[in-house]
Amino acid sequence: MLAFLKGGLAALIGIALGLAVTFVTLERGFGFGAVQAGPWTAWPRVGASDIDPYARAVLSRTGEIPLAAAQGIAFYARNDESGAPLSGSCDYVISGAVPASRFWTLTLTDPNGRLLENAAHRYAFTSAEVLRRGDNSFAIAVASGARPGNWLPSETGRRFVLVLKLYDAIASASPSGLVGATTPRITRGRCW
Amino acid sequence: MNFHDRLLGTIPFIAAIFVIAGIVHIVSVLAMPAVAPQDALTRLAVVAPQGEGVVLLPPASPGREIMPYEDPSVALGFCRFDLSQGLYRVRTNIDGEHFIALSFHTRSGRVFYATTDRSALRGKIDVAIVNTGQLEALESNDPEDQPAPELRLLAPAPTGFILVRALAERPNELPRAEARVTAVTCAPERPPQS
Repeated sequence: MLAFLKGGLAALIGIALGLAVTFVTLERGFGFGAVQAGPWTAWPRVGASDIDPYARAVLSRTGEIPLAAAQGIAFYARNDESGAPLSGSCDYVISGAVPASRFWTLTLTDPNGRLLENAAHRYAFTSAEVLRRGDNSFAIAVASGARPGNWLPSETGRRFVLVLKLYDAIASASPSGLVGATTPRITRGRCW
Repeated sequence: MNFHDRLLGTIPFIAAIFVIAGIVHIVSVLAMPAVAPQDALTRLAVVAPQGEGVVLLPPASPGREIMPYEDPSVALGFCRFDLSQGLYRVRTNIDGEHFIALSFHTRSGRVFYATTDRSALRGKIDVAIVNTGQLEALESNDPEDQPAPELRLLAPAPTGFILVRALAERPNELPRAEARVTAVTCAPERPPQS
């Protein structure tokens, strides 16, 4: 009787533990195959046909439709260069170069991938519309209050995610081409 | 029973927990695409529960996104295929200048083929999605000495969808990007009777 009870208890704890591990791993993102470039992370294999079971489980849970590897690649940044989480209570500047691609877009979303409402109706910049300096470099200000020049609005007190999508990216065909890619810097300014 | 014996007695118990936890974890990860209530095709089907041909999605705006991490600079459309109706044909002309991309997915969102206007041949994208039987029927009707007129894609599953992405470089170009999405033709096709 005692052995039977013990077995049942082990099964219950085991099932709970197994489901908890699944939940935690799926919440953390796409799992294996991440490529890190500065503050940005990409998962090139998520858009390929040899996607791993963890990434497939994440996709089927969130409903996200990844950019296919033959079309481009998406980089996600949840932290700034210093490693601190991106917050609507701070100002940031995104500057520098983007890996070679036909077009790119930079979008600001909440941690679940939803756009943030703002009075300027500005949710993203594309490579065609961003204002550039004489030497072709650019700087985009991310702040909750209006800024001159390229301004991407955030929301005071809310965490956010920056998504850099490269379309027809030269490096996206082979993940190794992404390692150490030159990605834009995310520099934190003033916080309050 | 002293402390040492009790410790030894709990080892099988702990081991059983870990084995069961491992099995449950693996099974739940593998089963997720089959049981998840909000997979990609389910979300898309909210926009258009029925219908053939390409369905244009509303532009991404706060609170109205169909999928997470949608790009607001991209016009999106989708076609769903069901090979039990016959093979499925996807065609569009491209102008060589504007970005248009087609990706072919199983219903959970996994990509099985993708292309952009850059890799199109002779100014058009022409794809037939087929299962093994339909591929054989097509090939048996092929002229001997000519290459196949279209790209034939063997689908890994009988149902799925095609996502069409057209980039609007500036917000005021979105209507033109949407027009490029709706210009894509998708339709099931009866295989030629032989």
